[in-house]
Amino acid sequence: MIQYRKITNFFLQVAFGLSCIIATIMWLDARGVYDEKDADHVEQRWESLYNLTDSVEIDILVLGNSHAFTSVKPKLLSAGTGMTSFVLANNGTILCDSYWTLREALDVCTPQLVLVETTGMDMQESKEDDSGFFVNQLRAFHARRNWRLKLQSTPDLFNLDDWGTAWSPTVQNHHLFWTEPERMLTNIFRGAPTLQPNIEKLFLGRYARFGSGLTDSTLAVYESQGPTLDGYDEGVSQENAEYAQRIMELASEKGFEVAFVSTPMFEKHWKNVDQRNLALASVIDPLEAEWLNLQADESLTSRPALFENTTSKNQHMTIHGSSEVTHRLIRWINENADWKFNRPGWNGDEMWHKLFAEQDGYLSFFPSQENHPGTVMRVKRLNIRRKNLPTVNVAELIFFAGSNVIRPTIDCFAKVYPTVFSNQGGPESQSMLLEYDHVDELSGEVNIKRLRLLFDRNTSSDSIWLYRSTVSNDLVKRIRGAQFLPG
Amino acid sequence: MLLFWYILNHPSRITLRNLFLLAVSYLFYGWWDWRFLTLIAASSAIDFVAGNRIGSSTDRRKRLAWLWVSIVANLGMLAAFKYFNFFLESADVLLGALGSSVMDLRLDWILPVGISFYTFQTLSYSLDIHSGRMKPVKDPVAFFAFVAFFPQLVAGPIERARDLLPQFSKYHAFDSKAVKSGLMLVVWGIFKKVVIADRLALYVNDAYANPDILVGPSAIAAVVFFTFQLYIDFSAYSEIAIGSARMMGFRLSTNFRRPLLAESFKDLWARWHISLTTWFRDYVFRPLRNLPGGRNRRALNVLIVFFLTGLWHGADWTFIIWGLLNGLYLLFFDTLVIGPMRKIPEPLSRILRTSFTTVFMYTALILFRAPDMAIAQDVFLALFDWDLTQLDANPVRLGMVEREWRMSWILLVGLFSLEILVEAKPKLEAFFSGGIGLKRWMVTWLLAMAIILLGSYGLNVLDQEFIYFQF
Repeated sequence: MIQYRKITNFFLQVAFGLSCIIATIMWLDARGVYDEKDADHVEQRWESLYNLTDSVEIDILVLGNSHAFTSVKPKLLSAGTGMTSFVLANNGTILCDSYWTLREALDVCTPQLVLVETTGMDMQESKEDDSGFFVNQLRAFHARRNWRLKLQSTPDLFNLDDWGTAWSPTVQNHHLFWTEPERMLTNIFRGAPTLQPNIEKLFLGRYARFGSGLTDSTLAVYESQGPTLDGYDEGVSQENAEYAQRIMELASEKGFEVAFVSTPMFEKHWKNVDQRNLALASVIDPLEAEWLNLQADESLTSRPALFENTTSKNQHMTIHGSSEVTHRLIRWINENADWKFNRPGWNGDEMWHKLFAEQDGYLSFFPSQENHPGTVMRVKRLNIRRKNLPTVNVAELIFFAGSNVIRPTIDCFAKVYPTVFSNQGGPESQSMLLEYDHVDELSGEVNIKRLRLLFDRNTSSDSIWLYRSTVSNDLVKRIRGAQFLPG
Repeated sequence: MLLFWYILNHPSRITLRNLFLLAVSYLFYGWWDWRFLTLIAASSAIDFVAGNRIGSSTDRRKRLAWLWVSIVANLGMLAAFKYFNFFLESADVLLGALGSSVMDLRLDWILPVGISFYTFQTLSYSLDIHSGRMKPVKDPVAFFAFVAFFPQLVAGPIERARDLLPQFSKYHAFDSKAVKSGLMLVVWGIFKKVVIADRLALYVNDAYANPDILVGPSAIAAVVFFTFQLYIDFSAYSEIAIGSARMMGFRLSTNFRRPLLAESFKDLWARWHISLTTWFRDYVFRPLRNLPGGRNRRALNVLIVFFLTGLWHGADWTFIIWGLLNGLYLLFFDTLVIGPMRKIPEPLSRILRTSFTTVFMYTALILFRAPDMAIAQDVFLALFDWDLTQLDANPVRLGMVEREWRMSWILLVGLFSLEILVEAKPKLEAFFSGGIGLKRWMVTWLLAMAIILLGSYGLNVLDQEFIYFQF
């Protein structure tokens, strides 16, 4: 009586019809017809992680939102700790996203320490928040490769309405038909999309954006309008607290350490900051995890130069600020007696040193690599005598074939032991003048050249001051002399 | 659907099937706000009892008393949730002249979605039993499922109990042709809603939020776009409802019959929201006419019906005036303007009749869309403001992307042409959903891809609910 055959036939037809629709969308996705723009730092970060972990282990993984990738310099952190560090953060992310990011990262690497930047814990509460950063969440989701984990994380990361958008660039960017049909045409004719190669040889997830700090006019806004953020307004949501707990559970299951880091904002940016600290502590303390609260570090929060020139809620750190934060992180990690890490840099892992030898910060913590193919010339110990002042001891002077792939250059570094200058100014008050023989490539003639090296505050450490400069790709023959001059 | 057709829709499992439909319907409604399930359940229970009492009693007074129980309960709920604050505010204006206020009595209740639809549907049951048009049902599950039937629960069509309720007592044989045409209708409805109506909404929302930037051309576009948006949005919902019900073997009544081609206001209301018009015709207009001397008060009866039609749509004076305006048009415009046009030879006469009706209908709908009388007035006056230099600052397309603006007009012209074609050759309606399977699947695939690729949804696009959800 019931026409099962007809019913089955109908549902098979519907299934076939749905398959045709899904297949069409998948084909459009694969062809990249609706790709909105070329890969940016969000996708590059994942691409780099996957590529890097083919040959290198990640020892420190930094999770969080934009504050993580603007406040932490992974190359410097790697050099300072001897542990390969990677910032796998994303704009405006929530802790739920960080959790799933970690899950997928654990699929390709086995970090010993996971640092969770806390701004995403108390300043954005859940996926329900209507956030302008949603596009970045989607980009990060697209960049992830593990289908099983993506499927598992979809209900956690996205509302039901957004599942189609999350999984398909075609669904997400279908508006291009109206707004940018030219891009669609370009996409159609370029063939299948490929990720743009990164300009940096080694991309560890840092995305620096802010060169200059708070200006006087912005500081005046604080005086007239008062602080931007109130500690009483920024609590940690239940959802974020739950995901902090889940990260800890993952840590004990997989055997890595978890620590929380609060990167700072300018001191006048916050009022009732104690309340914010209490809110974070109420979540972190029960987890028995380490917490480095740099918002409590006045030597950082009182310096306008370290912070993005804005009074808006989301104030990031400048490049200078991120160096300062990274140096504090390095000290904190190195001095924490409870953590017994395996540090490939300190263990003399040749491959590790090869990877970082020409990266920022390496020379502050390690001697230059004698056999590194990039080394053009290396002078060990150079003492510069001065009248009535202690001799300046230069630990090393290195000419190094730079990593700039667009314009081949030679980077010159001088590693100087801290000393006292005549005007009692700090290392920034001086520059180093270097005189050397230079061989002309065409005529073979030897000329005398001078080079002025400036203090690099971003990669210098407490025990080594780094002075650096860049010269065009010419032949350096012999160092004739050096002196320090004011300015 | 699989569960429904394979297991539940069996001659021996009709109650189980109805129970399933009831559960799904309550889940569907409860998803929005589970607390208001109590309202539907209460409304269903009252009318089920009232219907049975009316049906089983021969005492005229008792029958009338139970009818009043049903009317007071249903309209009381509607009045409390939908109209209480409106009446209060109107009373407050009057009392304000005497120096007193009743605004402290304001209720901060949200309007339950679809309350105007399901209260009218259940009310028709008691009214039909009382008038002897149908007998009461004994199966409470079938009755509760009828009231809450999810395809048409929140925005109609408002079904008569005598049409829909018996379908819950029957076994539905699987008719693949009907199921396929139902699926097609659902896809077509979604296409109309997502690709056309929601796109027009972007412009209309912008225009009505900033009426001061409108001048002649943009005001005309706003008025035309809203008329199409309203029609497409509501008819799309009806088609999705009818299609979904058809996929489960249920037949719902037609709610729209190409109203934009109406040749008079009488014709318009025979084509637009048919289930509501006929409800008012059967349960308000005819009883009024049957009162002593009622036939001599046709104009008054018409105005009462249209006053109630306006009020049904929303608790605001803009809706009431819109309703009354339609009543006046039906009484006078049809007689004084449309009547004489019939003497002009066809097809010119038809074109003129439709054009005139259209213009008056479009402008009346300004009241329907405007949030208050002041904005309605601004938009209306902008229709006559032809200082086109203002277009330099605010182009006629307002904030809409140029291509989207052009495509909106193309879609409107396309849809309008299709309606004209179907009006001339009604068999065309079945053309796309009938015939060989390949053609039907191609059309469905194209519509589905158009929804995904051309739809107005996604990031940075405000979700547009169906307009009639608010009623």
